[in-house]
Amino acid sequence: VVVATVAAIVLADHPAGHGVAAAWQATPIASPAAVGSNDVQIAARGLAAAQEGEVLYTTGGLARSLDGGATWEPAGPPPPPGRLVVAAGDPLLLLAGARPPCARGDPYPPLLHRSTDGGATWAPVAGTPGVEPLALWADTQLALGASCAGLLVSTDAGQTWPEQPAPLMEPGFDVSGFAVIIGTDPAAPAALVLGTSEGGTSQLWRLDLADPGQPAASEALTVFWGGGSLAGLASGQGERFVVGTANGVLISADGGATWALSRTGLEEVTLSVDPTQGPIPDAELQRGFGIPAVAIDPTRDGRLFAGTVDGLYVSLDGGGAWERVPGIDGIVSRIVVSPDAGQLLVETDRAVQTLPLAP
Amino acid sequence: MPLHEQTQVVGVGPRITRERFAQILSDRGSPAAMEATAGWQAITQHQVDPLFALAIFKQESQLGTQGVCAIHQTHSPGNTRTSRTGDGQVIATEFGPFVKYASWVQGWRDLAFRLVDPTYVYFQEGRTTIRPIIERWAPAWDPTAAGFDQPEGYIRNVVDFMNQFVTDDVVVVEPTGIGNVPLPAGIVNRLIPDFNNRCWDNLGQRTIKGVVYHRQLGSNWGTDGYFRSVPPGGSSACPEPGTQWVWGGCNGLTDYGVDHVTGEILQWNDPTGKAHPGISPNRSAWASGPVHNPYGDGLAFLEDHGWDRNVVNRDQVSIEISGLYENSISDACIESVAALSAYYADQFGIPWHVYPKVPGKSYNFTRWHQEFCDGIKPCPGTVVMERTGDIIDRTIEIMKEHQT
Repeated sequence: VVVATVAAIVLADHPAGHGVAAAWQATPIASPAAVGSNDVQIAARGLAAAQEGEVLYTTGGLARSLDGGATWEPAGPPPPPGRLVVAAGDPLLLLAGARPPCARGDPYPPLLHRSTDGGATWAPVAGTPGVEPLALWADTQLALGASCAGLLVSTDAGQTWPEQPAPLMEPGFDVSGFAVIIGTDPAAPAALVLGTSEGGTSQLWRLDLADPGQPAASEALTVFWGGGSLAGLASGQGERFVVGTANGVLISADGGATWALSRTGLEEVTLSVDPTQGPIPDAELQRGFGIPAVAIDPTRDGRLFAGTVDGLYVSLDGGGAWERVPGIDGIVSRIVVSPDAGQLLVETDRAVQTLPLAP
Repeated sequence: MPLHEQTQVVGVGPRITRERFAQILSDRGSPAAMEATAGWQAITQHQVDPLFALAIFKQESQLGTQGVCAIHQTHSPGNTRTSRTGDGQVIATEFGPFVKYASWVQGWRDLAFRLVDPTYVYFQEGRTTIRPIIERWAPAWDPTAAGFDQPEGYIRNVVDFMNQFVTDDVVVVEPTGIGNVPLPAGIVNRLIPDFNNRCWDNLGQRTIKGVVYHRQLGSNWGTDGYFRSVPPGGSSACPEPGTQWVWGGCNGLTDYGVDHVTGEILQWNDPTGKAHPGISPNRSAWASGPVHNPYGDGLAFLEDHGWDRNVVNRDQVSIEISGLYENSISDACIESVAALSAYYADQFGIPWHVYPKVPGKSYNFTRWHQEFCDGIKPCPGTVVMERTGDIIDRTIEIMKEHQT
C-alpha cells in the first residue's frame, strides 16, 4: 500500500465579504491507501450515497472510504482501466470499463469488468467490449452503461448487457455526460444524461429509472455547444439541474423547464463567443476553456461548485456569480460533496484534495 | 438508333430519367411506385441501366402486379431465387423458393448488384448486353417457365419495352483528361494543428479511394471550434476517452466540413497526408469508424482490402455536412460536396462515365458513414442519403467537364 498525503482545506465563510470562501486552512492528512497525486481518481458515488453514507473509492492502489473520505482502507490492486462505478446499496459491488474513441477505425475496446468484493478481485463480463459503466443500483439490479452504440441498460447488475442501446436518446448523439440526480426517492431514482453529436452539439435528457425494466427519457431539456458536465439535486422545492459548458454554467431550478446561463466570475475559464457563429479566438483556444465538473451542495441552499480548466469556483447565490476557491489549481475533473462527512472532495489533474464544508 | 439485343446495359449510364421511371410505375399501378426514386438510385449506383431493370420487372411480374411477386409481396423486381447482397429471406412458394426482400429498394439493389458482382456468373462471363444476360437470367430449361418463349420471347419483350420508353441513349464521351479536375475554389484553410487535436493516427501514406459523407448535427463553424477544443496544455493533455467529454479535439476529426446552406468548405485535415506547419504528415482522422456490422459499399470496400480496418480512416476522405439529419441541403452544398468528390475520384483515376463505380470493383466511390457502422450511427441521415443521387449526378457533370 502506498501512503500519500492528501491536503485538506477548510472552507469557511468570509467574515466581512459576501460569504465566499476566504479563510483557508490547509490540514495535511494521511490516507492509508491513496496513491500519489496524478494517479488518484475518485469513483462516482452510488445513488443512495446521500442516504446511507458516503462510499468512495480512489483508484491507482485501490482504496475505499465508507465515511465520505474521512478514513480510508486498502481495497485491492489497481482496477481495470476506465471509469469505476460503485453500486448504490452495496459498497462492495463495482464495475469498471472504458469506451474507446468511437470514430477510430479499429479501437480494440477492452471488456467491462465486475467485482463483488470491493475490488479485491475482478472478472471480465463476456460480450461487453467498449462498455463504460455509468451507474449501478444493487437493490433493483439496474445498471447503465455507454458504448459507441449509445446508452445501454442492464437489468442484472451488469452481468449481461444488450448489444443495442435503449431508445432513450436521439440517434446520432453519443453519451458524453451522466449524473445521478441526488436526493430522489430511492425507489424511483432518476438521472441526467448528455449526448453530443459529431459536430459538438449537446442535448440533455432526464431519465426516469423507477421501472428498471423500462427506463424512460424526457424530451431534450436543453441544447448547447460543446461537451459538458452535469449535476442534479432533488429536494422539496423540486429538481435543480446544473450543467457546466464551454460558455458558462447552465442552471435550471425547475427541473429543466427553464434555464439561465451564468458566467459572471468565470470569464477566464469560459468562452466569450458563440462558437456556432464563427471562429473561437486564438487566445481562448490557447488558454483552454471548459467546466469538466459541477456539483450542488445539498447542505446549503444556493451553494454550487464548478470545476474548471483552471481551478475550483464556488457560487453562493445559486449561480449568479462565481468566485475562485484558492488553493486548488489545475483541471478539476471531479467534485464529490459528502454531506455526512461535511467535506468536499476535488479531483484535479494534479491531486485529490478535501475541503471541509462550512455549514 | 434503336436499342437491340446486343445493347450494353451494364457499365453504362441510365437510359431513363428517374422521373420517367417513377411515372411508368405509378401509371401502371405498380406497388413499387412508392420507392421508385430510391430504386432508380439503387440500380444506377451499380452502373446498370434502370430501363433494362424496369424491362425485366415488366417481363417477370407485370411490374409487381402478377405472379409470385404480387401473391407473396416479395418486393423482388427480378423474381430472384437467391440473394447476392445478403438482403432478404428465401421463402417457399407454390412456384418454388423465392427471395422476399424487406423493401423494393433492396430488391432493385439485388437485381443490379448480381449483374456486377465479381464473384457471380454475369461479371465472370462478361455478360453486359441484353441477350447474354437474359440467356442466363431466363434459360430455356427453367421448369417454371413452361409455356413461355424463353429466352427468345423474353429478350424480344425486353428490347421492345426499352425502345418504347428510352429517353436518352447512352453517349459516352471517352475521358481524355483524367487528373484535370481541380479542387473547388474557395476552400477555407482551417487545418487544425496537432496541438489542438489528438484524434488521428499515422497509419502510413494516405491514398484516397473513396469519399464518406457525414452529418454534423451542428453548424460548420461550431464543428470547427469543437474539433480544435482541447484542455490547457493542448491535445497531449486530453483525458482518456469516456464520459468526461468536454473537448472535441480529444474525440473526433474529419477532413472537410461543408455548410448545408451556403456550401462553404472548411478544411480541417489534409487527405493527401502532406505535412504542414504544426501538423504531422499522414494524419488519418478518427472520422468514419467504428467498424461494426458494415454493409453495402462499406462492407465491400473492407472485404476488398482484406478487412484491414485502417482503410476506413486512412484511404477515404471524410466530409461533414452541417445541419441536423432532417435539415434540407442546398444546391450550393450539393455543388461543394460534388466538387470535392469529383476531385478525389479524378485523382484516383475514375473516368466520369463510370462514376460512382470504382472500376474493376463491386462497390462505389461514394459511401455513407453508416455503411461502416450499421446500428451505431444513422449518419449521414435520411436527407443526405436521399440527395446522394443528386450529389452523384453533379459529380459526374463536374468530372465530365474536366475529363473530356
